[in-house]
Amino acid sequence: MKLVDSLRENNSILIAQNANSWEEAVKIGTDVLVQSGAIENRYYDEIIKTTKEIGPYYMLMPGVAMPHSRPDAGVIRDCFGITILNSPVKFGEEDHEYAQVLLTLAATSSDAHAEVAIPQIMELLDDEENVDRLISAKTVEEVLAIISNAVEK
Amino acid sequence: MIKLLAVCGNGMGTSTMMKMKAKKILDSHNIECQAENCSVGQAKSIVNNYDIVIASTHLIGQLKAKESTTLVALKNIMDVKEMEAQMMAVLKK
Repeated sequence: MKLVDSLRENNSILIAQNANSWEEAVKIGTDVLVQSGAIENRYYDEIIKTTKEIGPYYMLMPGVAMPHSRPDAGVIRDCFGITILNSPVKFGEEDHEYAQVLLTLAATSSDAHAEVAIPQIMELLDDEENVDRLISAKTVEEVLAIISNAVEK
Repeated sequence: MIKLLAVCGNGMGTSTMMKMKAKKILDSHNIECQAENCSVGQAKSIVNNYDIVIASTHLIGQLKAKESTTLVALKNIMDVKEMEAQMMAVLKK
């Protein structure tokens, strides 16, 4: 499923969010997907549990995290969300383990979602300026435009 | 030909990304490669079938490999430069 379509469908673009901890930051992203009926509440619990066990296994690059868990952790349908925080939140002990942009991902199977949407995320993040653009975006439409421009090749 | 395995916690998004990045790097160096990805649970039993196994520093500790397989731990899984530097160091041997 295209990244942009999923974000529209789930109304899951949240900008200028405040979070005092990484758990809060993740919850902002999962709550909106629970509201849209794409995942169950326990998906959040699973992400938190695993993070506490092995650390933030979903850091894509400094500043960007992709919180997600397994298909059997309460995923109802493939979906994406993007949460942009007003300021970065620490996710782990290392210096580079912080995030201001969170791409919440939930997939019903290991392949389906990954093969289509992941390359789009990669394209988005390939241009490092896109992360800055996302952080400075003032509206949801702006965020959609940044993503569309990045993945449209 | 280099056989490469990218490993992440769930065997979906993150390892797919690493696999794609690694393949791109090897292609740019004209090194033929067969790349796959899987979860850390699945990886444990197949690690020794590969020349290079890449995973984040968080998960690499769960994998044990024989001498013929090199484990590459990445701090930053999206960082092409880190991946390239580590992989090239391995391949030079």
